[in-house]
Amino acid sequence: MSGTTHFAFRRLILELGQAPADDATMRLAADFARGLGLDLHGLFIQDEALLHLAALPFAREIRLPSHVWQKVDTARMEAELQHAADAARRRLGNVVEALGVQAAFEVIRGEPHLCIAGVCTPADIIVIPAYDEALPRGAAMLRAAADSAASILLIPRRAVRRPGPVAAVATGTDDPALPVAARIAEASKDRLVVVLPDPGQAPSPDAAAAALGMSAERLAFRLASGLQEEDVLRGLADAHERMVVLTPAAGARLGIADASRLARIRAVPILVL
Amino acid sequence: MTESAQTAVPAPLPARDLYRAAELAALDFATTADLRPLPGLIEQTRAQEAIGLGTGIARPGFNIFAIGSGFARIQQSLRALLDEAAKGRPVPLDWVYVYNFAEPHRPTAISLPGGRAPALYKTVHALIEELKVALPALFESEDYQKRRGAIEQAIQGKSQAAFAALNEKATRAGIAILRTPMGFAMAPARDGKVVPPEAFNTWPDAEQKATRDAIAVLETELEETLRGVPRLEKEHRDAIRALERETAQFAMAQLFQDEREAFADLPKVLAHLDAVHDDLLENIQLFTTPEGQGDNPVLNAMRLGGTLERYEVNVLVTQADHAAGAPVIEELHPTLGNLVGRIEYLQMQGALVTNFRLIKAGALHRANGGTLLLDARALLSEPFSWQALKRMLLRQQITIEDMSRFMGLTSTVSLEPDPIPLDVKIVLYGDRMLYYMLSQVDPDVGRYFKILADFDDEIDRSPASELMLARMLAGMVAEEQLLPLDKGAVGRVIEQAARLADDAGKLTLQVEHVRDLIAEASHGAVQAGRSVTTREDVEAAIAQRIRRHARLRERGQEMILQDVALIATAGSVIGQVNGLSVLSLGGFAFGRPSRITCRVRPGNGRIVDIEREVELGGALHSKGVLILSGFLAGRYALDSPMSVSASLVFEQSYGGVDGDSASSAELYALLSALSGLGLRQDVAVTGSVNQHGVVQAIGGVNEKIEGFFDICAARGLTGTQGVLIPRANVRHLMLRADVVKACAAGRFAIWPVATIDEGIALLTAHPAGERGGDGLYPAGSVNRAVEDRLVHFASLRRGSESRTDWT
Repeated sequence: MSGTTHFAFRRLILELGQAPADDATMRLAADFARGLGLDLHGLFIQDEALLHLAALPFAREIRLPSHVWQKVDTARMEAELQHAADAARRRLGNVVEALGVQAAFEVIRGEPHLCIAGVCTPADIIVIPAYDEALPRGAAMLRAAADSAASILLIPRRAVRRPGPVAAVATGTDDPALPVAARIAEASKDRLVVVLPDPGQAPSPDAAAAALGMSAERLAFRLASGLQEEDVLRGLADAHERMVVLTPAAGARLGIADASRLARIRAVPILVL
Repeated sequence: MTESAQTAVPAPLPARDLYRAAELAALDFATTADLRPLPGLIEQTRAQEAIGLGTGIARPGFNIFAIGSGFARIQQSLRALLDEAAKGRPVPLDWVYVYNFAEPHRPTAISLPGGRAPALYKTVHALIEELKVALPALFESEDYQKRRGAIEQAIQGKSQAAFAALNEKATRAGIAILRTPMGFAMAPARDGKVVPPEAFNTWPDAEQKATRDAIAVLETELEETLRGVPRLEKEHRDAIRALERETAQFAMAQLFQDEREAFADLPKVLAHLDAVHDDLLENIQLFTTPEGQGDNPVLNAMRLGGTLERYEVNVLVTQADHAAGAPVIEELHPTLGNLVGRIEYLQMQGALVTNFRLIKAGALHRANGGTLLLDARALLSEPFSWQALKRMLLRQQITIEDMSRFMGLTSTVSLEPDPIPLDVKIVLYGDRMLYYMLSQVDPDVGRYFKILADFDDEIDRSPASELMLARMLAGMVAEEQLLPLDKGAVGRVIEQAARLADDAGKLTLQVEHVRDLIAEASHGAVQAGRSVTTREDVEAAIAQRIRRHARLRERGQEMILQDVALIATAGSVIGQVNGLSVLSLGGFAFGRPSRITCRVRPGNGRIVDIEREVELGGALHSKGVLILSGFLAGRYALDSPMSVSASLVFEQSYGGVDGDSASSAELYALLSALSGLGLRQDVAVTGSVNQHGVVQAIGGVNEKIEGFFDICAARGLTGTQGVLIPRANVRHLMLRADVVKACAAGRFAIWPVATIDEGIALLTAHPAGERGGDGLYPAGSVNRAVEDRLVHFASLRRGSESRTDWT
């Protein structure tokens, strides 16, 4: 996760190799990219560990859903990885064509953590599922994304697509990342609800709205006792938000695993800046 | 009348007997605008009684077949009578089709009290629309999401715990579990990374074997873990479904309660609402799936029963638009589909698809509980419609039939909607001939149409009926937005109605002719800048109509006047007489004189009808000629065999001849030929005759007289010319004004005759003669001359036969 406070996003990277995204996730990502004017970039990482596995003489896999064991070899693994990449490219193409969004698609091979680190820049947002870190791959992917230079858009498995405000969790009204949340809200003509620790006195929506370049009617503050997971959940109660933006400072206090869990609990995407 | 009737020459008819003017002087109106319009037809007591009976008997088969002249427009009168009868009948039921959740291909028919179907449609539609909003909102609510999240977490936790345990065990054994594109696999690992094969190969054999053994053990455990996943997934699905049902049930409870209360008196509706409720609970995902819930009928139809459309109500027929009473429906195009309803299809990607909302009502549905008015000719002209109607009447239910399916022309998934009970009064209308022909070939006519309503073509003429006709004209004027008719015009139309009835004592009820006449007269009045239609306008309309149709008549008259067709109108000729015939072409009839001649010689008593010999004579004509033999045999030379051979012919006739209206003329020609007395050529003759010599009535008397008059007038009226008509036809005279005028001035004459003797006396200027006490006709009479000739022929024949025997 980047520690910078200046955000000028250019790409939305949708990782498709490690966790095949469903169509709804693709649509959500494409909508988000269109709303913010980002280039959508499909990324398919072919895990080289699978090729190492396939080269072992005793390597075999249990295939789903038949639950039949079958021997694997390098050639077949190569072919199946290529087939999976082609299928992902095709599905992404169908989704973006229907939505009228441009998208690039890239296939790279290597160790996923390194690949993500190598591809992502501070001008990127990488989209990954809101993994449970208890799972081996989940922990690895969350860690890889967090270690990259990109911001992270966590999408829960069953995200609720509903109209509603954009929620931002910030450290204060002067959180330098709040303009990003304001821009997202502005793009969809939604309200912005900001959850922030109680500063002791009620913040002035007028001043904050002016600073964010939006009307005060579309800005609301909710005060939380802190920025722990429970505090944030209480702050978001009945907000009916369609997504949550975590500013870097707030994200740093929560941690990527908590952010991912928050996304699953609220059933909405969470952008971790 | 017998042979002994007096044989005085008849006197010409006075002008007052040639035309009966309308008697409107006593009526107080200036134009038809002052008259109260009379709807429908007048004086149809017989038909009205039949319709009253037919509409009053609520028994199967007591349907009505109304017949009348093709120009009577009886459907308008029927409609008025049926509308009146329908007012007192109860408002029939509404019918809807709804989705059958148990058997989707058999939509369920539900009846509701008249006018309530739209309310059911609106209620259900509003309910579904409300659920479209309420349920997704409910499922997106925090409370729901929390509960769902908890369920998912609990169940996923079980799965993840199993995987986590396996993963931990594998990690301890130096094994990595990998997700491959197709499933899962295991590989040796060091520091969390898979050991490349070249590195693994450098391991000691024992270590390699231990790793492979560990992998083998873990693979078994992985397999066990994976086998548990579907069970967990099912547990997850069941739990989520239960949560959805519980949540939805709460949201639906109040909505359905309100709806049930609105239809608490209708058990079938309540049962359907229960079915909708249960199905909604089973298919909550229809409300949570974002796609496929649009109003696109094509998409909806394609997803048969797969969308929210199946919860909607198809209002097949409703009485909501009827203020009161039962409906009277007229179907002008009774195709099978228009009659019994149809199932429509939408073409989607080469396939035909349908659903219960594409069931369309037929005329039987719309008229159910009321009356259906059908044109019999139109019904019989449509394939399958007549048979289908009889089937529906037999079963007393409406079953939507698709003949293309029966005939194998289509093969696609279709529906079998519930039949709907049929309680309808069918009223067919058509012309008489059609009814009689249909009755002859189809005995079911009597079975299903027990009431015959026979509309008269004409009514007796009286001041009262003339007034009714005048009021009917007022109604037509109002309907057609014509100029009002003044009293003179009304009188002329009434007189024309009598002429159309072919009877001065009757008025036609063929209103189409009358309607056309006043429309044309009104047009003429408008052209002339008048604000009312006058008698002159009606006269002009009649004259113009005749002119439009009279080309053939004029050509025929032209040929006579140029002596191409030989018709003498002066002098006297033996065995030759002017007969009169009527030609009816394209709805226009006109009279035409024809020369009839007769030649005689001794023979065996046979009268040769030349028309018949060359097959130009019809059966009725031949009958008339054969009657002549009976007349001769019964009247003359009773003690001698009939020894005459005669030949009769219509000269210059190149078309068919039928009817017996020329039989008196033929008899005059025969008597003239036998007697040697010439017949007047300035007189034309019409009338049939029987074996006793009585002259009988014929049709078209006015046209026949006018046909001869026109020829005489063109050549110049001499004052001796005229026409012999049967006395029985005097009441039918409604002659043209110019004919009446000539007769009044003594320049033309119409002589009514009752017997052949009267006619022959006038035609030969000799008395017919009555047989005296000596058994002989008086000398110098026509009959004496005829008998003498026949006796002479008999003697010649006897002599001939003697010579033959002798030789």
